[in-house]
Amino acid sequence: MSVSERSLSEHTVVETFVGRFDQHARQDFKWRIDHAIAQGYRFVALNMVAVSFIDSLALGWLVLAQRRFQRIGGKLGIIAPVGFVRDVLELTEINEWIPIFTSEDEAWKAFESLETLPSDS
Amino acid sequence: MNELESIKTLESVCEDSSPREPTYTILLVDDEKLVRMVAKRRLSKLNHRMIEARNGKEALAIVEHEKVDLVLSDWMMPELDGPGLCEAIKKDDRFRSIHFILMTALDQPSQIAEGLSRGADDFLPKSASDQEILARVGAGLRARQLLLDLEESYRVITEKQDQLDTELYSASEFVRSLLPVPGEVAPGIMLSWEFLPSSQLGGDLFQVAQWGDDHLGIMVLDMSGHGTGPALRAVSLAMWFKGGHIAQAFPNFDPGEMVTRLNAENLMTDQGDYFTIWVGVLQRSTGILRYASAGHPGSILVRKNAPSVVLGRKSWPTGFSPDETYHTDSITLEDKDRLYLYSDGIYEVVNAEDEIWGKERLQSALEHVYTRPMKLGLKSLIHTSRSWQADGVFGDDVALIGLELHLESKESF
Repeated sequence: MSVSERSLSEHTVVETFVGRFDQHARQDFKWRIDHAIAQGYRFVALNMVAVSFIDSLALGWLVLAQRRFQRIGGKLGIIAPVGFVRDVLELTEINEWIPIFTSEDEAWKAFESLETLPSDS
Repeated sequence: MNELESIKTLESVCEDSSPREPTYTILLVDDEKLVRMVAKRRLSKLNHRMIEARNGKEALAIVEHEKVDLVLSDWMMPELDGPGLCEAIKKDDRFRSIHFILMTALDQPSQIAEGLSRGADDFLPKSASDQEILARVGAGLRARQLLLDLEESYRVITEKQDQLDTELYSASEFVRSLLPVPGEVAPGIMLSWEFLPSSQLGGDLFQVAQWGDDHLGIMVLDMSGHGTGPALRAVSLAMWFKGGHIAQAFPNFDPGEMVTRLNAENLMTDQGDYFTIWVGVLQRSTGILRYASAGHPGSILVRKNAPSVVLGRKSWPTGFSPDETYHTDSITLEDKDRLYLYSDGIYEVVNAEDEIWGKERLQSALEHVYTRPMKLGLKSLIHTSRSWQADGVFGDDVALIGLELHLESKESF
């Protein structure tokens, strides 16, 4: 999996994932989340339009990451999953834990309204 | 022992215990005896073992039964020339790490190119100085040693891998030994299953347990991930499910209570590990099946004279929400009902167009095979799911279990 990063504001960043989101992506994903939090981001949107596969392990990491963001008054979101990834996310109803947006713009607007809330940290 | 003898003994001990340079075997190949003698004398300073051959053919015969580290060969020789000998050695997997130096009186770039293309590692002009010959041979032996070290590392790794494979095989055999034996697991209840771990140790497991005379526990679980860790956790849960303590811990055999307890006691690990589970408890005297699930897609009940039903409700996998309460639902089973348990690996498969086979197709396929003997039906489903996939290979663990009820012949029902 390869990842690129784009900051949308002081507290919001979009991480664009490409490839398979499975056991081999663990270190990469963890590092990205650690790094985002260390940089002061409280809102992270994972753009998954170019992710072709996701497994059950990766679903667990997403939930763990969401917990971390919740503890600092932030949120994790997923943008535009397609194909198999979208089907799996729908089947597991992960959207009840992690909001799924259709576009970066939609994620940005949703996070923007939350950014004004004070951080718990 | 006098003082002189003591000193000599000490020197001898010191010499013996000091690290020694390894001794290599160098094969000198030249049809001229004089050239071989000169080369032997020049290389004698290196203190390595030296063998001589008069041509390529003779050299090949020596390589067959001697452990040669470096060949220093003339170019032009009768029978088999230097490049021919080099080619023969480098083509053989047993000898290809032998360092091969071609010696020639000529120094033409085209000749060097030909020698390299036929596998030579280095060149030496016959006019080379002692210093150059010793340096080239020394460098060649270092290269040879690196390759030998690499081969040894590969051998050690392969040996370790074989050992690991053997241990994994033993572990997977143990996991299989925990699975319920197909056939009549309780009066009037027939069991069949298909179990395909994606690696030697998978994260799926299922269990059937008799609790007292009247209750039959049924469980399927799916650990996130595969391999040793998930398999060990799955085994511990399967043992828990089959243990005699269930009657004391859950006097009502309530599956919702069991799943709630499992959820509270199995928090998601720091690695994000969790599991999904479906637990059913069949009371044989009434035919009532109570069930609860955590994140599991639900079991499927296929009936003779009614549409099939998914038994399960929306719920989180264990460990997602520690305070979650999992509810028990129930249904009364009828004669010839078939209850299918499964893990998501059977239907979360995609075809070449990236389309998922899906639970609906699984349910429909289960209805379709109702008229067939259950074992054959399960095999057919595995085949259908496999055929759906572009590469025909399951990427996840697959567990598919079927229970068929024959109630009419049993008075207890």
